[in-house]
Amino acid sequence: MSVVDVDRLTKSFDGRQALCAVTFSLQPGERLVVAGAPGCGRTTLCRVLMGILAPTSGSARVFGHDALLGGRICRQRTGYLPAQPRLQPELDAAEHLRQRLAYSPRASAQRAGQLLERLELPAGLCVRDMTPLQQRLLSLALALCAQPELLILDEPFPPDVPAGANAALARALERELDARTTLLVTAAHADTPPLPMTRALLLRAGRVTADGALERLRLPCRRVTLRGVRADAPELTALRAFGVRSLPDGVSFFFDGGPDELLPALYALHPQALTVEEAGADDLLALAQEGETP
Amino acid sequence: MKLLWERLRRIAPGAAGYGACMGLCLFWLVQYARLSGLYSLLSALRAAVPSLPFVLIDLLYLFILLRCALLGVHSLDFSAPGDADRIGALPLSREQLALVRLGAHACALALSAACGLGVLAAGGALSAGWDFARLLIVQTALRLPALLCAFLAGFMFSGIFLRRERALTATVLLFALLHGAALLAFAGVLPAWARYLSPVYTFDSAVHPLPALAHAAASLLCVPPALWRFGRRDLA
Repeated sequence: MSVVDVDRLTKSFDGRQALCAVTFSLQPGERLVVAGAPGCGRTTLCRVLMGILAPTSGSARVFGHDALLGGRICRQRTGYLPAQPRLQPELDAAEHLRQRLAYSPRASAQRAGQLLERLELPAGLCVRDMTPLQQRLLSLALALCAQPELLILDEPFPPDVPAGANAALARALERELDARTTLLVTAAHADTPPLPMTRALLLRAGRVTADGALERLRLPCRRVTLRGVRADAPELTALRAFGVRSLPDGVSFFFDGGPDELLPALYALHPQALTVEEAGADDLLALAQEGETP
Repeated sequence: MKLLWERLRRIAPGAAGYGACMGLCLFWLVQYARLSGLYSLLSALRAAVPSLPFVLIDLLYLFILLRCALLGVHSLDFSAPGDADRIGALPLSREQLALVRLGAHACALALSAACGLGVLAAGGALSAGWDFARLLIVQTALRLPALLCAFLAGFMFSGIFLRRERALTATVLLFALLHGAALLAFAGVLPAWARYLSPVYTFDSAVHPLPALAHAAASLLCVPPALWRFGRRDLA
């Protein structure tokens, strides 16, 4: 039986479609990253699966039960870390976990104590006195304390947080995860989570643009951004760059060749700054939709 | 129970304070009516000759009525940042969540009423003895079922509508409609029984037991539609 089964799920807010005919399923033990730009529908999808939002049409089932109507049963076996967790500033970690224990029949005081110890959370320190990393670890502990079979993490590794903090959270998560735990993580890019993920679901404007094993979705194509270079520079045409975009202070383009082709062009262009990123199927699909070809 | 206690702990101080303030206002108005020397005369002529103190007392009750409706409207409001995510992650059904909130807010309402009655009793006993205090308590207690109606009407719209503003508008419109029908009944446009559609005119349930019971029954019927709709809409 699938852990998560989403069939033609659509969610609209005041006529604006946040999700459109999203279909996918998640098997036990899978690790799925739902990736896409801000506003693509990642948080909406998480909230529908948690029964916080009602689908406009279609269905979302978790452990075989409707996520909204059977929410109680689903949430007993699911842990959730929202994008902006709200903790009570005057309580400490132990009190937060004790509160959660009261609601979760699967949680135990022993498990809560183990989590406090392993995540190195100080028992007597109020949330308002904790560092941002400690607050995130506490939120993670609250999601894990009931030993969930499904863990939904909404943007647990935000790009504006130092990489070291994200890595620390990822290490803590990896230590606590069971091999049987199904994981759904949302991120801006499929490669963002510093965790081994098995599958990626790419969203754009609420629609699924790609779904499959993470390795298959990586293509030998890079997005290059050059600062201080004009989009009409002749060297770019000679380079066979495609998907060229003018930026306020430079240009970005896609390039599928090797460094032996790129380096001479860079010497000629004299950019003030250079950024090279892996491009994925999502980027190329967007270009194809706009009629761009190499 | 934990969630109920948590919610009650948060709203109880405000509810108690509000009840005490209303009790004090009510006591002051009643004292004004009594000490102005017109109390016994005007209470006999009340139906025919509206007087300022009694008009003010009825307006105060109307205000209290609307505040009870507001308490109901806030019952199923999870629009505060992070509330929906925090509550939504708990292994509770929507119905359980709604009933917990209903229970907590109803307890707060009861606490508020108790504080108001307490202030009335204390003021009445200090100013004119226990007999007067008892009269005040009985007269005020007979009006409490109308407050419960207002609270449950607010709760119903809170369950139906996602946005608090829409729930409040619907509650106020309902009251305006019912009160308007009552005024039209007084004006002779509608049948005489229509005057009891307005909760204001069933305030004295000792005089109007049947309409007061009808209001109470109708307000209990507000709960199932609220639970049904709340279980199927967005939490926030």
